[in-house]
Amino acid sequence: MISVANLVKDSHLFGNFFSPDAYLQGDVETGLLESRGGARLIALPEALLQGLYNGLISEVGQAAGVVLFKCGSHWGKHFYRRFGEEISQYYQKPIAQMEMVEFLQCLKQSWKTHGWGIIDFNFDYYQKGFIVTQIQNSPFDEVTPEGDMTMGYAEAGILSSFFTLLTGRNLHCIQTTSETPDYPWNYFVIGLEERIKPAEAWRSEGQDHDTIMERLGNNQPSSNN
Amino acid sequence: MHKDMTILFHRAEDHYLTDGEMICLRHNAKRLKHSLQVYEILRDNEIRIFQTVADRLVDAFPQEREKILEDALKHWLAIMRYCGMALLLNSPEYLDHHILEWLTDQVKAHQMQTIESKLYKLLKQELETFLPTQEYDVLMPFLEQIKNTLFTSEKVKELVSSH
Repeated sequence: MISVANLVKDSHLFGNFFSPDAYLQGDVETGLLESRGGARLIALPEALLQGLYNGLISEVGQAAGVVLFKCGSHWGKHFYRRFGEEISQYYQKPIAQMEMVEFLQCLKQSWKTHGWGIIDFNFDYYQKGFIVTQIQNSPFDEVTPEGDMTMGYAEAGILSSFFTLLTGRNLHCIQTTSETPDYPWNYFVIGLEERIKPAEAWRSEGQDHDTIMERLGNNQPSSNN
Repeated sequence: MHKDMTILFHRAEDHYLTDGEMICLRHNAKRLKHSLQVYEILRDNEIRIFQTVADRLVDAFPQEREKILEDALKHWLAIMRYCGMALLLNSPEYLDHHILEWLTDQVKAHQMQTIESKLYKLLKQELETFLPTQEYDVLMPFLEQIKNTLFTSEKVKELVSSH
């Protein structure tokens, strides 16, 4: 027999730590905007983000992508640490003991509440060594000027370092396609660098996300995992 | 916070509340009084309501591991606590953001929809017999919201709707 009295007594009944009304805190008097875990947050004006991107591109041209990736990677390391601390404290268990679906749900909710858009994950290619991530309504994508620089390098950077720290393996991340009216998501593939590298060339050839993933899957026999 | 009340709070920028706006405010105050009563019933009878549901759930899934059924019950204990608060705040968004969005993928991933949909039906039956009609009616829109959010696949919707 299940005793509800014991269930209520023994366990903390958790909800969404990242619910926006609970997560975003602030003290107007001191000018501080904080997460409920006490980390300082700032609201980044769109014009400033746009200025950073434009300034970077005009100064370093094509290398802007590499710089943004590095920035994202650096940011991802800090984000992973803060995220890990906050959720393990709230849900009263270390990340390692968290079920993957619960962990990813936290990441999705955190992403959304920070205003970075909607993120989702697809593990169809997991057995072949790839995780596919899709992002919609990305603020970074929106401020990137049209043309060759339509890629979410900062997000690729954050995802690469986040999943590197999570898995303990040195993972890379490449964007396979950008959001368009017909295809409303930015797609990214995460995996070992040497295995996902060909995606860049296929992307330049104009291949779509599904084709790139199919080729990556075929290119990497599962025995090499 | 009640959405239409929040809008009224901003009226001070411009004017004292009009008679029409005061009617809206009074209506909300009356509603809150009623919601508080329902909330107290849910709070004071949490264990009693859920123990009946738990016993029937065990009967319905005799082969299932106890841990799985306990996890499902914990989901619904949490859902009802947030549901009670959403009722007080008159805010479906609160219920979505604080618990439903967070649970939907987990329920799906664990393929717990059959158990959870049965649990929903048992809980609904229990609340229907436990709460006076007027109190149950106040809660009903939130229960519908929970059902529509958590049970998205057609197959599970059929399970929930069938009696």
